[in-house]
Amino acid sequence: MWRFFHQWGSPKSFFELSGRCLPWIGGLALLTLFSGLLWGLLYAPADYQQGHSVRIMYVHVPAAIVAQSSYVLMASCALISLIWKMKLADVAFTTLAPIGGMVTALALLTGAIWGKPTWGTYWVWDARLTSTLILFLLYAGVISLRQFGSPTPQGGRAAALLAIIGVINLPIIKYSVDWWFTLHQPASFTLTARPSMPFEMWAPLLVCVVGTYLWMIWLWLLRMRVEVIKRESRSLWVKEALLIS
Amino acid sequence: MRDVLMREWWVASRSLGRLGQTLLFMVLVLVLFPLAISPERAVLEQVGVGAVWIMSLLAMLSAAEHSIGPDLKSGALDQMVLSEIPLWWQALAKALMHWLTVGLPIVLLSPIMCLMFAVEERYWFWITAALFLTTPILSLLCVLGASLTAGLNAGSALMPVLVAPLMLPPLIFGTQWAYQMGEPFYGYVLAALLSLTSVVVPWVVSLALRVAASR
Repeated sequence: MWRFFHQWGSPKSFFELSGRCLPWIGGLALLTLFSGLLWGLLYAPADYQQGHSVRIMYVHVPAAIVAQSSYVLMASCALISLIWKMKLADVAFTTLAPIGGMVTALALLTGAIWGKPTWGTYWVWDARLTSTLILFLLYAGVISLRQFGSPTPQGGRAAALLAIIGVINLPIIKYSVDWWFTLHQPASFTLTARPSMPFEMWAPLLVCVVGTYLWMIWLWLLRMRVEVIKRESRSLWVKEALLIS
Repeated sequence: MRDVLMREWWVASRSLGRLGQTLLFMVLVLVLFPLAISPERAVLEQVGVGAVWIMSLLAMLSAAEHSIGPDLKSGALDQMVLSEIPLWWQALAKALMHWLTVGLPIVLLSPIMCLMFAVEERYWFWITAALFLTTPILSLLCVLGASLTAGLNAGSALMPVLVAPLMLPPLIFGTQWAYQMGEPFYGYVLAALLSLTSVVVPWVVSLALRVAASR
């Protein structure tokens, strides 16, 4: 049974296995994301306070959730790459970083767009926004640092260390930013406390979250496959695989 | 002489990663200000304009060394000194590339920075315009500082100290122009400063580059 897991560790088997999974994951992602977004953007009820502008929640919330969890995922891959020097772990870590950064940027942008009709401003320095901005900076730092280093687990050591320090720091950052926020007692608006949403609203949200996760995994596997081909380009199985496909 | 421009552009476009780092540094300072001072709109409005300026200044200073340092290390500087193309043109080309890769993105991003510092919307255009006039001056002065300290061991720490006094007049007039919402006097002074520096500084840089090449 463990052999099944170990197989994923070899670049060649990973390429074959992921090649078989990818269409299924992609199809499923498309299905869930499409249906979830359609449901949320068109059919879910409008908020009694915010009106139709609440619909951006179906994009913003999944993006924010995926942004945060993919950082932890990326840091785990970095840890594995650092300790066990697994080639594929380094590939996973290197390829996930830009995806996570992009999703964080999406969360920030959609949040700003949502903030304008709801709060009257695109940006406000409150705890959640600030910690998401810091998360984006962490991603950007890891992406920039990873470029300086060979495409091997050895070359990824510095960036892996940075990612791991970042993930340890993440709860500290959240704590301190929360503390800073309550210390300063700014403005009179209220944080968007997650209201107890009716089923008609959280069901499409859940579907969108699942869809976004699937999409992220699909994109990640795709990038990993490309990166594996790039790194192993001199080996025989790559040449054969490319000729076949 | 056009080849000199092309060469500088080619070198600059290879190191666009540096541009990303500079902008990242700026975003970092942007986050630090409200965290250290206060996130309340009332306070941010007061410091907003100044904070945007300081961030731009720091960003330009941090990218300054890269305009001269690599050339000195690779020996290209010696070739430039020996060539028949005037060295002041070379200096002007370097300053232009520094502005294009660092200064112009700052100008283009300044509305977003103003947004995050809760600067009142009526100031935005004037801040952008003031940055547009001031960043070339700052670029020229950055290249001046880099050429004066090129090759020195402690040079990169010394450079901001050298050029900061020189940067004060553009900074003062630029912020005043923005605060006064385009009062023409300050605009004229800024334009005059730009003309003056773009004529005098390349010549001084050429002298400094000769000194640097002989180190």
